[in-house]
Amino acid sequence: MSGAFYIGAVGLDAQQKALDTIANNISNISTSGFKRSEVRFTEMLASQPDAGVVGPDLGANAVTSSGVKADVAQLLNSQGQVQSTGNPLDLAIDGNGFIEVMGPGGQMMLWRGGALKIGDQGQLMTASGFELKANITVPTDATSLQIGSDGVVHATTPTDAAPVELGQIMLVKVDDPSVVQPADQGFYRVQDAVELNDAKPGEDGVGTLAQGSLEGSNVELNQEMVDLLVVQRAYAANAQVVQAADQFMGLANGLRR
Amino acid sequence: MADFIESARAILSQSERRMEATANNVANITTPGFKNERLYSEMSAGTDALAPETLLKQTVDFTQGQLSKTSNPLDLAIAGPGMFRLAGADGSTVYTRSGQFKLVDGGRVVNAQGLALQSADGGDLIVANQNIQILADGTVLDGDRPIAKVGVYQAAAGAQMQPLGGSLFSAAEGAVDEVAQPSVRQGMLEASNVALANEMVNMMDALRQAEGAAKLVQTYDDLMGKAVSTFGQGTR
Repeated sequence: MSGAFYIGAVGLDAQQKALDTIANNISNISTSGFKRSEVRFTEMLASQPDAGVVGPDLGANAVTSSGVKADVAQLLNSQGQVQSTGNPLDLAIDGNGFIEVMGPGGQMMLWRGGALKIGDQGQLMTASGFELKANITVPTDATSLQIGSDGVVHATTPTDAAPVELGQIMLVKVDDPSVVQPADQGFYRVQDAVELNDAKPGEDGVGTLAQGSLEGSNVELNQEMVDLLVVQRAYAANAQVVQAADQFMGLANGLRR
Repeated sequence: MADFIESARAILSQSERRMEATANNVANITTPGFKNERLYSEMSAGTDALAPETLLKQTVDFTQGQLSKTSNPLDLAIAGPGMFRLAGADGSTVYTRSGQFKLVDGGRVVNAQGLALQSADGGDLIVANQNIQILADGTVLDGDRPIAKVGVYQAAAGAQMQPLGGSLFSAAEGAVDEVAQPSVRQGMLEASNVALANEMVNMMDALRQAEGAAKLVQTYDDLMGKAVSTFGQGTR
């Protein structure tokens, strides 16, 4: 089997993956809190002869190349633009941190902010119904809610003269983005074994909170479009290789008439 | 006559190898830090019929690729000569110009294959977080405090880097020097230096070479067929 066939096919596959990633980035260009993914190409590790086996000296054949590998990496730590919405239940993070929320099975999930809501029992939760780990309960008669840039939540009630402190939303930082996997609706799943440390907003480079704002996606259309053109051409080039390898095999088949 | 068919066979397998090399270059046209691999053949000494395919030599074209900006602080590129030093899987030392790194537990900086970037003083480069700044000479700053230096090396005079595949290179012990004034660019990547037009021409070339060899085989076959029928008639 001609190696060119296989390498060309692997190349097609990698470019296909890049195309999928670009498509996903572009389709989420106006999703708040969306983090774009990037395809990282690396040459595949070539097969090398076993040092223990003494064979003939094959010169250039000693190292055989085997194509390309595409990994998708999410750019978690790249900030989107924080835009003011005026809605007090919108929350954005200006910095690299994440808010911890309790997922459907009680497991910890990470959230880049977005719309909040107040549950039946007054608990502060995301619009999709996941409670914040900070476990904040808003009094039923509260007239307004203030979330400070340091995460401290206050509520104003008719009965108290001064706003009542309800708790503090903490942030966690993710240094190695490969330990989290994106889930639906802007949430991230964390691998079980990973321990993430809480920090108060404003400390340890986790960033600050911005109430009444949403974070835009960090997708830049210009860049995606340029990438798209490159991928398209690279895909076509790999297709050419496959075709040439096919011609070559046809030639070999035609040797015996 | 047997040499004749042997030569044709060798040309065929040589063009297949050239096609594979082209395929690998094309597949890696978007791989950062990838260096174009070229095959060239040397004239056979003449007596050894098997020689043509073994005489294919591989060289690497070290031309600088275009540097482009990325949004990842751990993407590093080198402008000008030099390579990053990585700790290989089996305790060996390998070199690369591909600078897509990421932070893993314990502050080690590794590439996509999990090989750790080495500091100039030897040992793995350890950084506390992603918000580090890397200066052109490789010095790593955490805030204002220099914490380490990324080592940049090149082959010593007279020595050469040996390609290992995977954009990785090896060098003999003592055959590398630290680059005196490296130019490390943080948040940038060096594009692959594969030129698509060259690769397409090489591929066409390899195909035509194979066609030529196929013609040789057919001619040989014709001649043998003729010989068999002609001499076969004579004995009747």
